[in-house]
Amino acid sequence: MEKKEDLNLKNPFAGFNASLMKDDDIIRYWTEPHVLFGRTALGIDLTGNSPVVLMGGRGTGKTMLLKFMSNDIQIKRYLSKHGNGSGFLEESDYIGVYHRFDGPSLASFDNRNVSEEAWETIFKHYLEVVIGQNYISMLRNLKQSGCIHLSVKTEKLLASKVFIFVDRKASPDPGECTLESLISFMQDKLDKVFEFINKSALSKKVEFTDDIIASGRLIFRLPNLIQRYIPELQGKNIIILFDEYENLILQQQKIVNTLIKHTKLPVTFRIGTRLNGFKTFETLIKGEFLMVDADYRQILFENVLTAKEEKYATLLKEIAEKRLRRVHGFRESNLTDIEELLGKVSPEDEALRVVFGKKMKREEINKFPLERYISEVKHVKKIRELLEARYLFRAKELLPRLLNPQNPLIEMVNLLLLRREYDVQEIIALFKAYVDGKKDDKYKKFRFLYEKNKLGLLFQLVSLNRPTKKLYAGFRVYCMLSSGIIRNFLELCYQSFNRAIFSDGEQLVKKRRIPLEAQTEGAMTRAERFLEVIERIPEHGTEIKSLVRSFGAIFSTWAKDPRLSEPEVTYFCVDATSLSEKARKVLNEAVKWSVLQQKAPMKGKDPGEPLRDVYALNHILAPYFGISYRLRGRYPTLSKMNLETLMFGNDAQKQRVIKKLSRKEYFEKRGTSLLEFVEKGESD
Amino acid sequence: MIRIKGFIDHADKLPCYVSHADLFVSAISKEERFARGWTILNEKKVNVSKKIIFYFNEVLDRCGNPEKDEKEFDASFCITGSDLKLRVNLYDEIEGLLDLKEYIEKNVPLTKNSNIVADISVMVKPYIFLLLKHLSSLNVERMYFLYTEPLTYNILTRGTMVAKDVPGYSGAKDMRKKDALIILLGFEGNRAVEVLNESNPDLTIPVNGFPSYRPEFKDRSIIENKELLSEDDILKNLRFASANDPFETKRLLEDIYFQYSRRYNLTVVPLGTKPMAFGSCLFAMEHKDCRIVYSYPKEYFLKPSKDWGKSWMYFVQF
Repeated sequence: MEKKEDLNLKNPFAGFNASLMKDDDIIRYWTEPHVLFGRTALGIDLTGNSPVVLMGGRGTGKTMLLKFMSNDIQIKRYLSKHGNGSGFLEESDYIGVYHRFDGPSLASFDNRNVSEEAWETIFKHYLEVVIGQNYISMLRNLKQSGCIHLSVKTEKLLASKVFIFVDRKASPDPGECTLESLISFMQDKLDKVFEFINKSALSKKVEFTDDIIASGRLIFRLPNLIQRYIPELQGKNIIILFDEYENLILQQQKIVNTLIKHTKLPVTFRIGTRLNGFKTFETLIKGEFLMVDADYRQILFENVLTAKEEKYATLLKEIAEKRLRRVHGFRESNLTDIEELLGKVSPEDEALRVVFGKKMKREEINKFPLERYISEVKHVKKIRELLEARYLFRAKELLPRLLNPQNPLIEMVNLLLLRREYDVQEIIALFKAYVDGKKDDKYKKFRFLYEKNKLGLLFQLVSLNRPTKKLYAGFRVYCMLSSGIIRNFLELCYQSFNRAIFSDGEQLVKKRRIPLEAQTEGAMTRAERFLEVIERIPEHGTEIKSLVRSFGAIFSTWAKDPRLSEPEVTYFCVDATSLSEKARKVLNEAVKWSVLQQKAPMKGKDPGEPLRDVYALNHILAPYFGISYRLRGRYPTLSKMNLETLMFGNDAQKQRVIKKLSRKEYFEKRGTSLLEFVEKGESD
Repeated sequence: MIRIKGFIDHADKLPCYVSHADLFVSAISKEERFARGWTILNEKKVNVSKKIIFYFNEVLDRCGNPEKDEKEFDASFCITGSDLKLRVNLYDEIEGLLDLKEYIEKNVPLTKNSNIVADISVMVKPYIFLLLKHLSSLNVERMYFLYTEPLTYNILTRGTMVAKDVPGYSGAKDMRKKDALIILLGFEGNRAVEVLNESNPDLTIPVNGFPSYRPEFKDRSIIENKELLSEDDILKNLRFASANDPFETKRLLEDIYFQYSRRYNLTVVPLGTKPMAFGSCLFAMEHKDCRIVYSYPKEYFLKPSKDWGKSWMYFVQF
């Protein structure tokens, strides 16, 4: 314990929710995602004129980005670099105003004691006041930090104009015309809204007593007024950064959609929302819709982040490095490269560990007696059994020609080809060409089969060698498990660092590596937590969980398919238009919470078939179900009936569908215990 | 500003404070403790002029023999022709309480010296919040609330439908301040985490019910909330308030208010015991800038507890 304290090895990955981070932490841990900012070529400019919708699952980094763009953080960051604010506005193209739509309170703008029309009016008024107050707070912020020079006289003049602009009846005392008093004035207006909300919840006879501010008056026109009095702000865009748009109820979304549709510069919007966060694209004007590209640009976080594997890995490395540098023990030991700490484990290395144990070195493998290898190693025994069944007494002579203990995975390819009933002479010829590296057609064919199936075969190799478990470890694997969700990656690191620091922090520093087992356990814990959360999804959580468990079980049987007809199945296809509304809602919610990730639609196998919608199981769940973390194998398209039964059917019905959709051979072997698997989520 | 005073005593001491109740409010339930308050009034010979009992449709609908069970509920509360059985939906506290309010205004003559007794033991929390708000608007000065502890708990609720402000308790958010969330911890840690995720506060203060009804309950709420309490920044703020004394919860919340309200908007999330929730309600009625957020479950289990323990009386003076 003392040693741990001496080393000062705090877990650098504690605290990964940007919403709960303090401003200083956001500045400290900020890493610019170049993949997002460098999209002007695609017409998406995060700091430009057009509204942009930032869509992504929980933990993808939307809040971090929006908060970072806010004037509060930008000014603080500038001050920490330069000491004073002069020059801030010259360097800034825009000024950001952040507002988060608070889910629990938005629902209060809706009760049966008040008509829908009245709520619409009051919410519009509320939004105007909130943003208006935010503008004034921004001015105060700029003034206090020295970013603008605001003389007492100008402040008085501006404040008095704003008072009248907000409320014609306002007659402020000239001595009280300050930004501060304006903020209080706006707060009084908000208090009246809250008073109305509280009273109207319990009575039908309550009236709203304040004067309503017309929609757009403060949001779009107040900045013009401000810019007239503060020349430094002229020409600067004011970006309203709305976070958690998905929390808005339908009518409120129409109000915000109308603002986006009718954006008036210098004001523009950045909207952070979950996937499928739009409940409607309608605006308040009948027949008018919000249209992507025409009215706003859209960024799908997960897709953009993972599109370029290398860039995503670099971003995660940079994020992790900032955190590692903050911890004395890691900084002092120069242990700030997460790639080094997590290391790399190739399928080939893992296969050797599985067959020979983790302690045996490569040189020792060469000396491993062939007889023992043939009689003890499980996958070799399988090859022998097949040879004996097919070639009887020749098996003994054929077997050594299919072996290469230095790489059990290529032996697994041979096993696969035997199971697919290839002629043994052909297998030997392909195998020999590959081992000899002849680069001919045979070599290419074997190489193709090897590269396509090696991870799938590794899963089978592990399965043959129980109780050995599949490793989910190494930097690249962690990148893939995170599925484009930065918080997933941070939580994976958090779990594995917890284990490594707790078991032996000193060893961690000495070996400069987190043990692969600790990483695997960390990944399993993260998967379990992720699965637990699914049930808490407010809408259709139970159906989504049932779906996930069913697919986990089904995919797992495909991974164990001896013929490996589709290796690494982790997604399914369905024609979503054929589904019932309820089933579509379940899928949409699953996507909204990133349990399923929607991929680009695929063509059917036959020409002329409609495009199929593709849903991948979030790879973070892979350790739980013992399946792959890559998007490879193609699963047959699901029918409406099968998918809906998995969502809404009773246990017996679900079991029938699971049986139908599973790989037959595997199911026959396991018998009815597959249901048990679905229930318990065991990996085997 | 309303000032609320009050104290706690054993329920069987009720006749020392009140010999006659002008109005008694309670509710039916599948829990054994549902009529304990009425039984105590009966045993202690406290006269009751009028009873209003919430007959939750969801409870009656799930009875094997609704007619027979309704008769048994009637008998348990000695329902007579002058009493009111208010058929309401468990999941619609606004409508349920508006019905109650309307009926009282039209049919129950009350003065500031009237005595109201309400048993909150089996009412779901949103009903308790709104009941208190409505009763406080009746210009009656003194009220007596009864609460019977369960002996053990079963499963309480399933899933979270939505976390939202309790109607009438939205507070008044000051946009200049940061946000603090005070979570009264219960046995359903997932609900606490959900509210935390929905609210994204700058400061979180968990409150554990201690002393608890029974020693093992205190540990259970800590264990069930391990995910929330695993955050160092949250654990370091852990406070305690008695599980069965609402006035202690109120006092604690006032201390927190005194310490933080200048810089923070306070939101209370009452996921702990009903007495703690009741205390938070009294607190929010005094401090109208504070709000109460409740994590509404998808489903209330109809028998969340087994048998009964001690019964308490909470005297409240407005």
